[in-house]
Amino acid sequence: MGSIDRIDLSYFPGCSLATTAKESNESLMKVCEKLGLNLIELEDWNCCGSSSAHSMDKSLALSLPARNLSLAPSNRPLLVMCPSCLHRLQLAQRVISENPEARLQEETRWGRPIDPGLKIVHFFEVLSGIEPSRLEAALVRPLRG
Amino acid sequence: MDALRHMAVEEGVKIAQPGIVKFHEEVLGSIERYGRTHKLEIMMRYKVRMRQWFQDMDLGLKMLSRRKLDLTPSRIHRVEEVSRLFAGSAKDGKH
Repeated sequence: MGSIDRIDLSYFPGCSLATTAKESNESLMKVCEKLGLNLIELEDWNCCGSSSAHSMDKSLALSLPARNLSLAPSNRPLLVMCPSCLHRLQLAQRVISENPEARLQEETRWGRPIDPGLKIVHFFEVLSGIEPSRLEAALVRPLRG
Repeated sequence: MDALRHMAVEEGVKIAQPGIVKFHEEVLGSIERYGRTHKLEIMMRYKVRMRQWFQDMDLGLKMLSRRKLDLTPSRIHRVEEVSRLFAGSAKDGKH
């Protein structure tokens, strides 16, 4: 286990993983540690807006997740565990990559560039892409019958 | 679907289920104040607005005892960056 290279990922916890779903957050941290995934929490992340922003106000539904995208370094993927946050962040990225005006507006608002090519991934996507040797090295209890 | 909701909010259409809008307003208010949602406060403010003072109290206590509800909000450092998004937003609609 000691010999595997560590993989750096930015991490967006979101409001639920930080509170009501904290067990899920704890499990994620433990699994990532075993797998050599180094999660670097997005500095000063904010709420993605959740259902309330996209139900009530189109511009909040874009700008709230866009701020998080502007905080994410482009040299490593952004890992998200909450499926709802993942959806909001990916939708905002889609708007920004398809609409140069929206991108300019958000970059100006936050004073930082937004990389439309940033990889935003759910934990399961990361897990499915991990080579078998790394999984094997992290194995604690095999499920062989 | 969202587009229809936005139009309804903008035009001040009579809301069939006012509780849903009140809930969304409380969630957005929390994001405006802290940059993140503070679930305990959202629930309490919502219950007060709905005049359902003691409804779900048992569930709330159970969640508190399992440390699923933080007593104090987690706030971002640069909260003013987020707060200024809310000037003139639909959250301030009167319902």
